[in-house]
Amino acid sequence: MAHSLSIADPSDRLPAGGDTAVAAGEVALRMQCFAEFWQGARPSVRAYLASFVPDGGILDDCVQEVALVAWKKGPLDKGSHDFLHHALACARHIGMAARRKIRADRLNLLAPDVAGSLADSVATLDPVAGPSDRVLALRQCIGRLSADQQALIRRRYGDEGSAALAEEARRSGKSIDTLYKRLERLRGLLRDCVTRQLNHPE
Amino acid sequence: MNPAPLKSPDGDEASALFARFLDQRLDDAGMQRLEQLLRDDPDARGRCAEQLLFEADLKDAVDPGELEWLETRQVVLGKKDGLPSLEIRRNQELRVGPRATPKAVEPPKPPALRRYLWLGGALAAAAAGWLWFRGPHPAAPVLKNPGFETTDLSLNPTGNTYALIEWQDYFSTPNAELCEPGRVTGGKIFAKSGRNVARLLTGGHLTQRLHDENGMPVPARSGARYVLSGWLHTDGTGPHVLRTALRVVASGRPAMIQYEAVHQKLDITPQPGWQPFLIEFNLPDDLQRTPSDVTVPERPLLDLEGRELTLSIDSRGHEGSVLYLDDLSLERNDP
Repeated sequence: MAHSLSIADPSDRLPAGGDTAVAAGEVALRMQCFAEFWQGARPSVRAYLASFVPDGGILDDCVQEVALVAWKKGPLDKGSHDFLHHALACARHIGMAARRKIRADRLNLLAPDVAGSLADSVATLDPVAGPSDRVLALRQCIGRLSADQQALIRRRYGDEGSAALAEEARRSGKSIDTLYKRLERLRGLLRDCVTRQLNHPE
Repeated sequence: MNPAPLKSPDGDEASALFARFLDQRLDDAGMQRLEQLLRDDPDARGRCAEQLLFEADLKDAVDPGELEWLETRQVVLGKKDGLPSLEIRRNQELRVGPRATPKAVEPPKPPALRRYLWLGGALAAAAAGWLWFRGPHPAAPVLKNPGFETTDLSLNPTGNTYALIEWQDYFSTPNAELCEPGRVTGGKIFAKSGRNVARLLTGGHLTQRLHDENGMPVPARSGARYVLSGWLHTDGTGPHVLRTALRVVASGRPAMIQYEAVHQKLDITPQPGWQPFLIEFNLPDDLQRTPSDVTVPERPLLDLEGRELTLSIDSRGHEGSVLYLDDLSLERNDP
């Protein structure tokens, strides 16, 4: 599900003079700042939320919800650290609220105290590289996998969710367990590759 | 079942259990053991936190979350006090997520009397539209965002986005994107018109629910004929194949069920620059179909007559080939 909100009142009529340019410039600056902060915060927010709701679709919705709250209320004038802190605080509320809506038989969830302490551990992580470097390294590593391996990773982490893996299992005649085992090996390969890539960039 | 003891490739039980948990494949005993480890062992908790961050990075690498700022402007030229006037209405929208329907600029509210007249007119139009919808003649489709210019990429730092407004109805794919070709190809290719084009990698596709000029869905009618035209540009790696179809989407993913009313395949000969293409769709008399694309075991037969049509344009060329599309049009082709 996509979320959107109007930045300006749609019924606002703007004069065609310099005021328009000033207003547009201010919004553009704010937007640019938000985009920069959000791109940096998004993986941490997602990881933090995943402590509470590990499911892909619900997790996507929660991430979007946090983004919209952060746009409306996030501190954009105090630097990226404060922005992330605020976003994680929002994420805790949104993640906990999402858990309450999930039927117990639909999704395995960690006990609330465990989920909370795991989220706290996510918040204190201090990765060796920034998110854009990590994602870039991951993309390069994925690019070195075979076409089949890349397809499997895309099916698991693309927008089609777990149903795509079930479809792949049906199509390839392999059991879903076999695919998950292959996935686990691939994640190990990618983790090693990213570590090498970040420590010894080519 | 979770064979015990469970170890990841580097021998870490908590990480192995946690990976299974993230894939939602952990049984009750495994959950209890994982929770115990996460409660008692701060190191294990730290490793699982790193796993969560890695998963988030992986998601971002494969399916980047989109953050899009859409600005539309409506310029009204008129007269005020006998003098020429210019009024600009601006609508800005922040979008977070894979896709969305653009929010239109709302017109000012009419006065009460005019509102009732407008309502009466709207009802009459709706009734006429309904009669037309139910009638034997297929409605003429009007493609939305045919030139891909709805999105302003000027503030986008990379010149591309996976959000293809109006072209991801029901389905989206990371193999299709909107881009400013001049920027993403370093000046090798420019749009046929405007600034943006659709860029399809192999397996990429565009889908749009068909509407007529009144916004009513275009239903499948036996004997109806349509012509899809536009411009395409290949990257020369070929062979390039464009597979197009008019479909009825009974259900989107995950339980996908699609029925194809008609399809056409176009083998493209790579040549320098933009080349026009034209594809004819002739719906046959018999529109009874079994599903063409499904992710569920059921394959129910369906009469497509009167059901809402969707246009799909798929790139089915050689692995790694890239195709650019611009200025598309779909018209009724009455005999």
